[in-house]
Amino acid sequence: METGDGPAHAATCADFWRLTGRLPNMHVAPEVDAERFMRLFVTRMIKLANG
Amino acid sequence: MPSYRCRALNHSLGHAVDFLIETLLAAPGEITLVATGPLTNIALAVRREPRIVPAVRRCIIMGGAFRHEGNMPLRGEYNVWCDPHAARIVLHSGLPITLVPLDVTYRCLFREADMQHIAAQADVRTPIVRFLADATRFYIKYHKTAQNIEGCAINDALAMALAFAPDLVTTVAL
Repeated sequence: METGDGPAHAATCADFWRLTGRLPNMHVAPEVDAERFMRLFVTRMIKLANG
Repeated sequence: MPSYRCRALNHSLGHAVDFLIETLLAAPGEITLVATGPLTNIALAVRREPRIVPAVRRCIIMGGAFRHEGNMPLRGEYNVWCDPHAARIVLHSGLPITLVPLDVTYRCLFREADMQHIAAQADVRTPIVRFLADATRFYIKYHKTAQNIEGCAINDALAMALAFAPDLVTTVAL
């Protein structure tokens, strides 16, 4: 994360091409099954509301 | 301003940082931590008591924007933008992190049609439906005005869902 006060303040940086030689330190989610998530969200809201 | 009944905060729990440390150390390997706001408290907890790092089962963080334009000035993402120093501490702490950036949350758009569907299927007088309608009305309008997007990104809900449905996303190690 960019912590400076300049134009890139809080920008998220990642070594996608593994050029730095640093080991990965997290898992990042670049893809989501949005249709399935939205279906899950909507059905859970209905279920919650109906008790 | 609509009002919603909710349980009163239990102030006897003490400071959030103490609560995090005590809770995590009391149940090593059992707790999935889901962060849906700025990472200040988690960073403080890590700094104060590094033993919590191996105690966390999994840490899911809604934050960051890689190839997304961001939701704050100059490609920033709000949770990181509020306290980038805390984000840096947490991301480099050794916690087993799954980061959920705007790149994926902005593909999960809650639209007016979704609200209408919920209202048709559920009791609209219940607090949860009223809250959802009130909260997303403003949020949908904001997204349209500020970003020309139909619907609103339900960022935090996706991060929370990954705690029990991790296969909703694919991940890469970075």
